[in-house]
Amino acid sequence: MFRNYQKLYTINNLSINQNLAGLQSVRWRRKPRWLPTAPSKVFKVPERHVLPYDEKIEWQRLNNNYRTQVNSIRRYLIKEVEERQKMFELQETPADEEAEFQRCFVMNQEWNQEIAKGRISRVEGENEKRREEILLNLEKRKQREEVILHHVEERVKLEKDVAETFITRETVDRAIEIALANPVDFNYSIDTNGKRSDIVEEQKSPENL
Amino acid sequence: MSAIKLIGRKTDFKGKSLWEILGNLKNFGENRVVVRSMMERYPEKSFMRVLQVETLPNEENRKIRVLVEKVFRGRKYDKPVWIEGASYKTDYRLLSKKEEADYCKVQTTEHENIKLIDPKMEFPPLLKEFLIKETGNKDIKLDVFLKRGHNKFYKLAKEGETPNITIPMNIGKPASQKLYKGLDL
Repeated sequence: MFRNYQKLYTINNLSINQNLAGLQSVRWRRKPRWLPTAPSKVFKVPERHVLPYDEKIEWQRLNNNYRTQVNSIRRYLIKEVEERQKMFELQETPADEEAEFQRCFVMNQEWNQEIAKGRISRVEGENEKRREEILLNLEKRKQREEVILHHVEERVKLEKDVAETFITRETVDRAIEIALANPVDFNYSIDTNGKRSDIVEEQKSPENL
Repeated sequence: MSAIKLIGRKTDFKGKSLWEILGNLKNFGENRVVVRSMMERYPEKSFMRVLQVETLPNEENRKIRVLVEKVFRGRKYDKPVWIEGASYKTDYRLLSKKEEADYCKVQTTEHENIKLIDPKMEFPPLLKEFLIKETGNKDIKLDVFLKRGHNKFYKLAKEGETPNITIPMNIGKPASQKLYKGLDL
């Protein structure tokens, strides 16, 4: 199990390459505490380091002094900060707070007015633009409708012209007569242009019958 | 008998656990004196007189609860102390009854070798410069802070007492000059 983890946490899996591009940065280069003892270290008894007496007492003295220094300075700074905080709190009276609020309020009002001026001019500009846009759209719409109306009228005119040839209740007899008088023969051939190759007989009106 | 070869880390402990000692004594060794070998490094005597013993469930490191009258470095504690968490440590030694009288002789409330520390010390150089600029006071000094405890062997000198020791802000006076050969400290 350890070996699997070791791959993750140690530099053994660095790709050994002459090329710098093959380098890989490793954040943890040793076994984390929560993993079991490495197989190679199971029977290893670490050597015990014993400081010589001279060094030991000197080391103790330096450490004691250092800790006292740090603790004392720390206490001093804590006290200093607390005192400043207290002074700051003492300085503020309700009247001071009110004055500070008024100052902030006035400043805020000024800012609001400045912003309001800008807003009015901006909104006016926007409205003007919008009005123009709407007018333009109306104009366009009118033109479009005119074109459509024109088309419609043309179409109606065409239909009216064509309507004269419609077979109505009154003209049905006449139409039947014409149809009977002009039997149509579709048995003819066409050339490559789609034209009839034989001569077309002229249509005969019922009067000519 | 074959020779015993010990393998593993060396230990500072020397002796037996409290269970091993007291479990074999009459009345669980009440009124007997045990000593921790770790405390024998001090010049003053430290020992514990057993007042009461309670047993606990048997686990890997066998612990027991022992009420003791404790003397640490020649100073006797006001109240008896319960030992439980440290009872498994194989660091206790039973004093024989012959030894007891001699060993437990000296008990003083006030210690002779107590260190009296100067309650004022120098500021660190940069901070001192800042403070002199700010306050204009050139003799500004830092209050020394020491941990309080009932069995400490140092204390801050009060008014009227002459301090033995001043905490330096520099390297100070070396405890062993040998290490600073050629340096004038």
